[in-house]
Order: sequence, then structure tokens, then C-alpha cells
Amino acid sequence: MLNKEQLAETIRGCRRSDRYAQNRLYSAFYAWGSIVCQRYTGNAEEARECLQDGFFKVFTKIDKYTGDLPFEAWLKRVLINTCIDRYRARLHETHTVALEEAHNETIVAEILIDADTEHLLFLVRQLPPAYQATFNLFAVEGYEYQEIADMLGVSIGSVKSNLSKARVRLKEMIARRQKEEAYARQ
Amino acid sequence: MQDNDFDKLFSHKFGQLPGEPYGEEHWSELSRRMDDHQRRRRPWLLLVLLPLLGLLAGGNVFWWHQWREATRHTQTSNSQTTKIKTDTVIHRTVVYRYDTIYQHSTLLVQQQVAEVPIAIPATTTAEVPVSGSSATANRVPGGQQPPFDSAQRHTPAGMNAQENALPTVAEAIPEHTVENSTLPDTTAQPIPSRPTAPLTADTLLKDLIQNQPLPTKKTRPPVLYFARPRLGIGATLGLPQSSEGFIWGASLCTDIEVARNLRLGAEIGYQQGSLKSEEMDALKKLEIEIPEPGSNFYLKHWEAGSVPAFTYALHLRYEIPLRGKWTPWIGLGVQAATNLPFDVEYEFENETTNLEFHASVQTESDTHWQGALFRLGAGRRLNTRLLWSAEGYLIQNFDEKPGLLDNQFGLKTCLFYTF
Repeated sequence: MLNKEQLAETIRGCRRSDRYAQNRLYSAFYAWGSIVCQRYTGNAEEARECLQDGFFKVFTKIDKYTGDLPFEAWLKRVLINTCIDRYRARLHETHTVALEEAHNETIVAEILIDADTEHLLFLVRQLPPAYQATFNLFAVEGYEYQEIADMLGVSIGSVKSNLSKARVRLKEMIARRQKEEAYARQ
Repeated sequence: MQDNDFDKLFSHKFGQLPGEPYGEEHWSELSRRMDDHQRRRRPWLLLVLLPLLGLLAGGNVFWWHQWREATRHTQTSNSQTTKIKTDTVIHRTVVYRYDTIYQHSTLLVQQQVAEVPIAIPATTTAEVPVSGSSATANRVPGGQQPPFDSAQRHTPAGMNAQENALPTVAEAIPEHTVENSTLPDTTAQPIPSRPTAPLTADTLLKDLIQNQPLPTKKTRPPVLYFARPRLGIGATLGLPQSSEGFIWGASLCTDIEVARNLRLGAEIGYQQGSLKSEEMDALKKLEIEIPEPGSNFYLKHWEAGSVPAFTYALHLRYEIPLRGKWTPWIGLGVQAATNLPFDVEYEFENETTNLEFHASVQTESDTHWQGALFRLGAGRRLNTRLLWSAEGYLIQNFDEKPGLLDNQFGLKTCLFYTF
């Protein structure tokens, strides 16, 4: 990662379309940006494409970065918006979640604590795009309902509904996975 | 399990996600995409510059049209003025000389016909204005002609009978009156002899006009003027002094004669250079970031495959007047350039490990004076309109940090159309 002075110098270089500075910024934030994009996409390939699109936007729109907020926050916002734009057409799709059975919340919590990160990422990627984006924005990024509604272009009610359904779907998948593992052990 | 806890567990777990490692191939892909993006933006630059070129050419044509109209108008005015002057001269001369001639004619007739009186209508009482003469209004009272004395009788040499057979005064000019014979000045003057030509008023008038020196006003051409504009297209092949490589270009050139053998010209051109060097000095003016891969690395070379620039030149050209189709000339001027963004590829090498490091930096667009322009060439006239010119040129920037294309020399050729 770059320190504050290096980052400022690199951003100045990017404003001049200095390819060397762009390369330095790209290499510094590539891994970090890939984590962000992974959460909002369906697979690793899509995540990479979103990341490339996001950096392309960063380099072409860097003049819009005013410095009011930390660069990492601005970059994350650009990357998230890029991912959301990719699925924007599908964000308004409605999904029905069949509440099959009541989950044992304690068991779910235990599984969650012991779960592999890659597995959790896999579960989140199984969610419909609207649920996935809403859950990530609220639970992981910490955005408010109103901000999420603005970013996704939906109402606050839809945000709350999607968030609730995303949690239910995740818990359901976790419980199902626990059952499958128990069955496999027997 | 509360939703908050559920969310926090996910957030915590996602914080441990391993990021995808940086890969050079990903950067190459994005870099190519950026290049494409910038190439697509360049046509906008052309869209801006092409109208400027059009304006330049259009302005030249418009100026030429105006100049031609003005020339035509001046010629028409001159011819009209000549006519008016001729008329004026004729008119003035007729009134003044006619009567004088007429007076002399009368004298001749009087001598030849001796005692035969000239039939003068009694009604001819018109005044004869004679400018510069005291006899302004002489009337013949009662239509009688006073007898001529011997002093008034003289025959001009060469006056033959045919001349003597001139019509009577009254027939010739009935409106005019024969002047009084006592006029002292005009009658005493010898009549210019014209033995072969019939002595008529017209021939005498011509004779007088020819003999009389017409006032001629000597005019000197102005020191500075605008004439004979030319518009042409040119091609350039140059060599930079600060790096290896070559420069080629095309240009639109125009000039106009502002003084004798002196032409003021302007030129707008597009240049493209392919440059390479092992020294960083040539890049000082660009103020681009130079990569620093480490102390063990040294610069093998830098290379710029495509260095585009627009150039604008203003110059004076003195044409040495020689007989023949070739006209040598020398020129002096100044030139400015707008360097468009281009990529500079650096190649470093580690002295110990021989590991190579490549980096690419893009420059920014800038406009600056390139320096003084020295030209030496010759032009050959192909026909009345077309002229081909070839020259050698030198652009020298006397600044401490000259630009990449500033110091260069080369050859240039141009085909002019003279309006």
C-alpha cells in the first residue's frame, strides 16, 4: 500500500494521465479492489471484469475526485457502483423465498463462526443480485437504508425487504449445508 | 441469533477474504483499453483543428477574392478616369484652341481670296471666350468685316490651295464669330505648318495635343504593400538533434508579397516523430515522471514511437531576383508547436542481475515556442500559377531545456498556387 504522500503524488500523476502513476495505483489497490468486487458479483471472472471496469472509470474520471473523502472510500464507491451497474437491470426482479422450516439460530451461528470464508462468499453469490447487493451494502459496508436505496434506485421499503429476505435465504442455505454435512458424516 | 450479529459475522469473515494478486497481464489489458480510449478521443481534437484549418484556407480564398475585386475595381476606375480626363482635355482644348485655330483659318482664307469678302452671317454674334486673352468678346457690328491691312496678310509656308479651299468660316462653324482682326497676340503668332495633312480643326487639335507635353505624374510604388498571395501544401522530413529518429510532416503554407522581393508567410503543419535516445536530457522539457526502479538499474534507452505535434510558423522570405525559372531565397522566422500526448517507453536494466524493467509514461499536451526558424531554398516556377519550392531548414531553440522536437533540421518541399 502507498503512504499518504505517495498516494497524493500518484493521484496527481493519474490526473495527468501518467501511465506510470496509473500503474502504481492499480498495483497498489488491485487486491483490495478485487475483494470488494468479489462480494458483488457471481463468480471470480465477473469480479475481475468489474474490477477492470472500475479502475477504468477511476482513471478516466479521476478529475471528479475532490479529496473530500479518503481515496479508498471513493474508490470503493466507484467499484461498488460498477458492480451494481452490471446487475442494475436485474435489481428490480422480485424473488419469493419459501420459508421451509425454522432454523435453529444457535446452530446457524456456530456454523457461521466455523465456516470457511470462501464458503460464505459462495453462499452470498448464490443470492439474487438485489439481495446480494443489499446485504453487502448494509451488513458489510455499513451503508444506511437511504444510501442503499439511492444507490440501487429502489425504495427504502424494498431495501428492508430485500435485506430481510437475504438473511433468511443465507440462514436457510447455511442450515441446509449443515444438514448435508451431517448426512455425509453418517 | 440477532440480525446484527449475523451481519457482523459476515462482515468479519469477508474482511478475511484474500484478494486476487496483482497480475501484469491484467494491467496490460487495462493499459490497452486506456490507449484505445485516448485514441478515440483524438478525433475530437481533429474536429476542433480541422475547422481552424478550413478557416485559414477559407480566409485566404476570401482575402484573394476581395483583393481581385479591388484590383478589378481599381482598373475600371482608372479607365473611367482616363476617359473623363480625355473628355475633359478634349472639351477644354476644343473651346480654347478651336477658336484660336478658327481665327488663323480666317486669316488664311482672307489672304487667299484677296478681295473676296467672306460671307459672314449677320446673325453670328456669339461670344468667343478665349482664356488668357484680352479679346473675350468681339462683335462684328452689322455683320461687316473690316478690311485687312497688309500687316495682317501673311501666308504660312506650305499652305497649298487645298488648304486655301477651306470652307468659309461661317460654313465651318456657323455659331462662332470671326474675331476682330485687331487682336494683337494671336494673329501675330506663326501658324504651325502641316503641309501634308488637311488643315482641319481636328488635325490641328491632335497636333496640339501631341505637341503639348501632357502633365505626367511620376508615382513611386509604396514600400510595403500586399500582392500576389500564394497558398500551398508541403511535406517535411526532419532529423532531431537531441535524439535519434526522424520526423515527417505535412503542412499548409501561405505567403504574400509585402515588399519588393520580400514575402511574409505563415504555415500550419502536422508533424509525427519517431524518437529514441539513451539520454534523459531531451525529456527535460516534458516534465514527465521518470521511473526510478532502483539504484542498481540504469537506463538502457527511452523510446517514443509516435510523437505527434501541430506546428505554427511565421516567417519572412527574401527572394533573390535572378533571371530564369529558379529563384533562390533565404528566410527567417519563428515556430511554435502543440505537442499532443504520447507515450514514452523506458527500458532499465539491472547491472548485477541483468533484469530488465519496462515502464510507460504518457506526456501531456502542451504548446510552446519551438524557436527561431532559419530557411534556405529555391523556387522553380512551373507555370504562371504553380511554383515548386524546396528548402533546407533549421529550428533552433535557445532555451536551456528545449523540447523534444525543437532542435531539428531537415528538408521541406512545397507546391504553391499563386492567386
